[in-house]
Amino acid sequence: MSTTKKTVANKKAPAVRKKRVSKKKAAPKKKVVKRASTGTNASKHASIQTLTLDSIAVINNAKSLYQDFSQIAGNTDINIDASAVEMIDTAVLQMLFAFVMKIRANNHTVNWIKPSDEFVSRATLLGLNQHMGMA
Amino acid sequence: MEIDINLSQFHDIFFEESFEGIESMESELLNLSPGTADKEIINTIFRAAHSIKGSASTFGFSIISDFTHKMETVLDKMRNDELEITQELISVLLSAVDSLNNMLISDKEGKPHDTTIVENVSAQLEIFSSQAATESTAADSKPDSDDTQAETTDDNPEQRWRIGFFPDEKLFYTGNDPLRLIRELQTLGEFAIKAEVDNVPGFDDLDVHNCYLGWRIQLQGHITREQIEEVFAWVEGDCRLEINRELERRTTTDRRSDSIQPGRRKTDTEQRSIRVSTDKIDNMLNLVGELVITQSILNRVCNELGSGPSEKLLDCLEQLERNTRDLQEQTMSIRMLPVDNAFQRIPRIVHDLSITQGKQVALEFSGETTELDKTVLEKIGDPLVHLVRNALDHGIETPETRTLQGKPEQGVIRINASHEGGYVMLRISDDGSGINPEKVLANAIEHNLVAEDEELSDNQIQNLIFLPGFSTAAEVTDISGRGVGMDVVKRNISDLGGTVDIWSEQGVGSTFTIKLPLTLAILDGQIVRIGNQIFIIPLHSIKETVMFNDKNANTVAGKAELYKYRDEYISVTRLYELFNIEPDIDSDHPQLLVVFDIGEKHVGILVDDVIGQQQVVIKSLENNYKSVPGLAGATVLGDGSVALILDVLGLASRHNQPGNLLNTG
Repeated sequence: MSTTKKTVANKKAPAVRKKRVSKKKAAPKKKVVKRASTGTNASKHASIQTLTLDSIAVINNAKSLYQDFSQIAGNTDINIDASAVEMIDTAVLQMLFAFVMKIRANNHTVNWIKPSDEFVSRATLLGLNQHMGMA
Repeated sequence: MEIDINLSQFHDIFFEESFEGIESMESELLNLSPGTADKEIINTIFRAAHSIKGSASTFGFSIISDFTHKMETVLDKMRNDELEITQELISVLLSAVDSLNNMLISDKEGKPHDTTIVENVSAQLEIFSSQAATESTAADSKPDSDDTQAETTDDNPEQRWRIGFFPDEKLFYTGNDPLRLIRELQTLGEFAIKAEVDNVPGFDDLDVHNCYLGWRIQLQGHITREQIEEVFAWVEGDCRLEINRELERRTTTDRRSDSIQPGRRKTDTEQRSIRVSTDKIDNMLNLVGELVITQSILNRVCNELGSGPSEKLLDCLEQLERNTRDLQEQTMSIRMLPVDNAFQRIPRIVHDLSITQGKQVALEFSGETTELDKTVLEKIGDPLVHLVRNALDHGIETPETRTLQGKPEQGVIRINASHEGGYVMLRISDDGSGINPEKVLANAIEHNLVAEDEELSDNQIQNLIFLPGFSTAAEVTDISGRGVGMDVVKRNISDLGGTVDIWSEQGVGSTFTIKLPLTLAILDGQIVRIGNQIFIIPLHSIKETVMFNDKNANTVAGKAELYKYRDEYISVTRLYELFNIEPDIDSDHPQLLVVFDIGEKHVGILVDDVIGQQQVVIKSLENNYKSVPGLAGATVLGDGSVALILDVLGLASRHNQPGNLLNTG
């Protein structure tokens, strides 16, 4: 299965942190592409993509984040790695909620990869944890 | 990290709202009495400080945020009865408010803070904080009695609250984050939350800077409505808020919870307003003024039609005139603000001065809702403050002196505003010692302001205090006594088209009465002709118009011209000489002398003819040309011609310098 390198046109400082994805020796069902030069780290293969959130995800960079997420077609399952999140606010959580709804509307799922305590507590505080499938 | 939203664009709003908060804090601190922990007052002050702290933090003004946090700590202890309310504490908090105000001004102007003062006040706040900590520690070490616990529970029983929080879409633009508010709410008690997500659009239609979420929250604990309201104080006006006690069958009446329909914004008097730039209002006023002038010209053209206009046309013109006047009045009313805005500084000044001078003073206001043009309001503030300072400094006696005179120890300063005959009247009165005419006259003679043998009435003597260089203060203080106060007060009031009069009686008190026009945009004027030129004289300044008799005129020392007007000699200004205009002197139609009141004196201005009276729209010469001495502005008459508006006071002061004032040729 071919993999495609995905380059996000947005050259702004990413709210989504670049992450080097290491290739596994055993041939996984999921293939991981080399990270994009900017913006979202998308590992893309037939069934799933992974997005990584940066440590600071607040309204100041919500637009950049939105543009990164907009690049995702929404026709695959999505992993969102929120392990690095130290600060997140209502604007970004709202955006993530809308993104989750979009993916679900396309009959796919969003999986949260090791969401940080901070991420979970804030999403729970806003009553969005269940909506976003974190409960 | 790139910032998508430039928060600096909201700084103006932050400063404006913070200054309002400071005004509120100062006003409430002045209402606080030593020994009385009025919780409502303290909570109001706390909320204001809390709001400023939160916003300052959001916008990156960390020094202000840290400083306000210290104030908040002290206020929190005050409302928890951990600090006794003393005069010293109130004074420190007032100093803190002053420091906060100065820091905001500095940040707004991009200047550095005065760190010395800020550090001093911070240290004083921390002393009170630590003192409170010591007191509360001592209190904690005492065993709680069952009675005490019972009292607490009874005073604040456990309650269940249902809260609906629905932010406006633009909430994020105000720098507020619902997360912070909800987290604060969570600290109050047992908490359950449900997000209302129905209004969140699809991801592809989402504007990340808008808030589409709402929340329904259940809160249980020993929580008061005030505590909940306090959490949302800063977003008041930017959200729909419902606060209901769950055990109640009906919604408790609350200004934020009544009349709420889903999806509809609640309305009350507080929210029926928007902030509008004064430039926009001034531009609109200017356009309306042009409309009035055009309508006036149309009227005149119609009247000059040879065959006579049709009745229908006249009816339409009449209707147009009525509509234009209504529009003008409504537009001008936009600029009208309650005169209470000019009174803001006075309570603090009276408070501080009475402490400094060891006097007891009660301050009474009435007619605060009387409205005045914004420009007039802004310029009357300083004269008002000076008159109040003088009342305190020269009028109100010390408690001991007052007791000896059979007066109550506490003196009274009353400030009243009212509308009278198209003007606003401001009266500042005190029950102090009154003006001593002998002392005033002696001082005026000493400063060569009047001749030793000049005979003056008591009222004329009292008005000497408005002369430049006059002062009866034994020593110059920072309050008064430099002799540069009252003449500036009078000048400032005159510049606004107003007048100031005195009534005073020794041992009883004094009253200063300021008369101001409602607006500076239009003027009731007397239309006069000098040669072939038309001028407008403000009607309010005219005492009388009489026929000029050359036989009553005398030239003194070859320069000043005096005219025998009734029982006195008044100075005369021949405008045609001043303006280098060829007069239209006709023996069959003698010239006219327009007589004005300038304080207690009269001056006269000679004109060729008085044409009539008219309300005119004032156009600024400064904005359209340049400032011209002797002229207060210009207007456009019904025939489309431009007429200049005379500055009577300015002319009266320059009547000895013919020919160098204007050349209108």
